Amino acid sequence: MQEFYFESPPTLDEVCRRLSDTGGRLIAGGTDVIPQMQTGRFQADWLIDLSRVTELSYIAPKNGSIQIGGLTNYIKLINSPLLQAEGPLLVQAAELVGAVQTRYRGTLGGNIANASPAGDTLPPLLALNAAVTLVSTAGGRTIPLADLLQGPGQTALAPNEVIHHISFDRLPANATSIFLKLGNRRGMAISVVNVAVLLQVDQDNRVEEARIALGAVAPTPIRCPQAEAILKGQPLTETLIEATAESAKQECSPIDDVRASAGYRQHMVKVLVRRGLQMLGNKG
Amino acid sequence: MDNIVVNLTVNGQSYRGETRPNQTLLYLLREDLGLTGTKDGCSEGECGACTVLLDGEPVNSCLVLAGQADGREVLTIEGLAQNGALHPVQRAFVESAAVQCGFCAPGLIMSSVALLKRTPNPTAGEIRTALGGNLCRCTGYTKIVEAVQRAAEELKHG
Repeated sequence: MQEFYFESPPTLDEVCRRLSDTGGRLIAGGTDVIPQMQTGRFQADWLIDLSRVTELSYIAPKNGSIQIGGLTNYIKLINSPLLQAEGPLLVQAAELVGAVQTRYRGTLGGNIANASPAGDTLPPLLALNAAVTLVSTAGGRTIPLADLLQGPGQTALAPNEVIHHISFDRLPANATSIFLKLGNRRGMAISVVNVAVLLQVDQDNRVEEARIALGAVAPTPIRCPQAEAILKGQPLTETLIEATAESAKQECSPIDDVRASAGYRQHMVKVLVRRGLQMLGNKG
Repeated sequence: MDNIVVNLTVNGQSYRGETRPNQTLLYLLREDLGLTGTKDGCSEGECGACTVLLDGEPVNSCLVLAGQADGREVLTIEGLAQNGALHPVQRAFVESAAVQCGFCAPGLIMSSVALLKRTPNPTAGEIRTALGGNLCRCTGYTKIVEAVQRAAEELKHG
């Protein structure tokens, strides 16, 4: 691993200051940073450690939304009664990231900053219409997650910005959601395809709201606006589910890579979207 | 790059040392402390051979920088036996024939110890999920699951 200077400031202010002063990069759980430093993909002369800024590890309600601090690890997400109630698809995703050892170290902010097209928490956050609040010595800003993710491993983060928290509006009581992951193993696997579906169906089985997000099948995780439009306002039938799944398949643009071919991924998008909608339909 | 000084507790003993910033906890344990029970199987956090408990939580020590372990408590395989007597999980692995070459065993045992602390009565499915980050090339995992179930029984009856 390359050589670097290392600091572990105890406060957020100091992290921001040192990040700006040194032109360095952040490390939190290290589950992506360290492997990438081993291969040289991630480089830094200064490494500023976030792990002492424990105030950034929280899940809390705030003014009709749910806020999650950037330093919150997957175990905390999984064990949170608030998140189990208000964002079950995100909990399901957190349960499937890596393995136990990864989940005790990896953070939600890290999953976002790493910006893998296959990042498991990202489709759920997109389906939740999540926004990300960033801070730096220059101030703060909040932008939709969809705007923050710009390409494989690329974000709109300035070099001196820290992910402070992620937030999403609380869902109505009749909202149901699911996250499905296809990987080459059941544990410690990077997603070949992952799918997040969020539905609101009224008592006449008519779809009030539909959100479908896909991962590992485009340069970034994506929503499927055309598939969502097929569902909206319609009764949730098998025929409709089939058409929606087919549309999602057309809306993605996967590539061949070491884990799977583009064709297989495209096929599995349709399978998983159909399956997710069927599972949610059966719940209602 | 300036060296850093770290203070940590390893297997109940305080340790203070100077090390390079790019030193991982794994190699601090193995090289600076001579605790070679924790293994380097992949250097990228995929195999779990380097699993230790950090403040009671199972982590891949190859993915923790030495500086990040400053002020924290580490438990390694060497810290399990008390007064020469094997920990029940260690004993269960031996008695269940869950150890062949032994390279994965320290990591598996540490993960199992952590599992049984948080879930004293795990199902076979829960065991497999909890140990999903520990790879074994020898045993096929069946005896490992039996070992954890055996240890759970013994720990229940104290």
